[in-house]
Amino acid sequence: VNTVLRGLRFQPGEKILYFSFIYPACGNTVLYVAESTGAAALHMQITLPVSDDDLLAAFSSTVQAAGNVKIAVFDTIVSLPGVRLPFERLIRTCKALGVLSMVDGAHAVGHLPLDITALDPDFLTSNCHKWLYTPRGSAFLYVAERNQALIRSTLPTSWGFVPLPSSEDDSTPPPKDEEAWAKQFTFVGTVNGSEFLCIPAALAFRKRIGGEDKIMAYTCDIARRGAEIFRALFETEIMKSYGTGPVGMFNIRLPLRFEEVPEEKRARVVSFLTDSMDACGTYITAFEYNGAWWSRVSGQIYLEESDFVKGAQILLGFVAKVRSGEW
Amino acid sequence: MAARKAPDMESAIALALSDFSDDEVPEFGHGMRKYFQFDDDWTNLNHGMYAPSLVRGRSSSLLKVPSQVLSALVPAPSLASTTASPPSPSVARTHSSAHTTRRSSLHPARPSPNTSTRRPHQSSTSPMPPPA
Repeated sequence: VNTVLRGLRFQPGEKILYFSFIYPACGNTVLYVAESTGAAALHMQITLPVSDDDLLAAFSSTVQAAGNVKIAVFDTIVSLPGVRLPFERLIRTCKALGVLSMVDGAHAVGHLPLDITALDPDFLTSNCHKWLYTPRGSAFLYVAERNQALIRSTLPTSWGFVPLPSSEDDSTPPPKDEEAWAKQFTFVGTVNGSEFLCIPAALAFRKRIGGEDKIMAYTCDIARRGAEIFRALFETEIMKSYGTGPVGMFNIRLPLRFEEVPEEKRARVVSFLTDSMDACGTYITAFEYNGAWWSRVSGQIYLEESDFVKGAQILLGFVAKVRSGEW
Repeated sequence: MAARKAPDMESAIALALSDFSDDEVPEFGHGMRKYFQFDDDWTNLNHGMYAPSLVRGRSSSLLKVPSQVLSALVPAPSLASTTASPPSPSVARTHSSAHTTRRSSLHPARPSPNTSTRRPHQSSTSPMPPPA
């Protein structure tokens, strides 16, 4: 996301559209680019969950009303809350409105089928260290061939950078290398490449254990069943996930109302729950969203229903402590 | 020193997966835990954030895939070795400590609480509130 947003050249007033639920680090990137270039950050407030039609309608009307939107940043699956977006439709709508699409697919590869040719985004990135099983720090960036000239440099700029010919430079330009643009990404500063070299092995491993379809089907199914275990024990609700296709992450509301916690202690609820679960040998994302506390769970091929029962019971125990004030 | 054949990706992958055979692949569920890098008593319900990466082989707490693949791709005297011991211990150690999936001080800043009650169709050019 940094490579793309910092690589583009913004005319004064050109806008970067982003949603309120953007991953905060990417949100900061948008703000920094707006601060350091002529770009303007266009913040679009959307409270999740939202139906695909409502999201698309709000997106289109915002782009049209604002005018001069150069690029829109959006997720495949939002981080918190973990819900799927109609990213396929958002990409198409961007194209129709003349807006570049920057798809943050952090939870995409290895989690859901990703046909980049069919999707045809302008830019799409996904880390591989979540759902593809490689070590942290491995990711890919897809830049549609038509846009490669827009992204002049890697971040940081390194050995492979090819400067534009200068008008004062009368030396003969070197022969054009059709792959020079891609090649510059193979040597960026002192990045340790070993994580990237794990990707082929991870893909081979995934094939060996049954293939992408089998992995994704199990992951999404156990996540759905696990979320239902949480919901039943909590006697609350699962946040609706729109978009097209299954997901392997769900958000379950915690059985804890805002007014049950003294105002001065509310900001500490999430860290108390997180730290307490850690001490019990598990981690379930707890977060505050739109005036309620939620938990987010993910499916994976090493999980069974009993893991979710254990996790839900541990979490519920600590929620009860918060409710009774014994924490 | 005799010239050595440059290793290719295919042999690197074969080396990384040399402990697996088709009849070994367990059913999905707890049988798959041995392929992932976390403690035996750790219940990981949050793959979406702290995803454990693969380990090579069984009963190993060291992340060996990167060092194995790297050492297979980068010429090194121990290339022919098929032992589980990584030729570059420092690489393995670094990865092991950095990638063990256990919540730690690596915890990123939590996203800002969103208590806004504004509805869709509203937008502005004002920046969002900074993360807490």
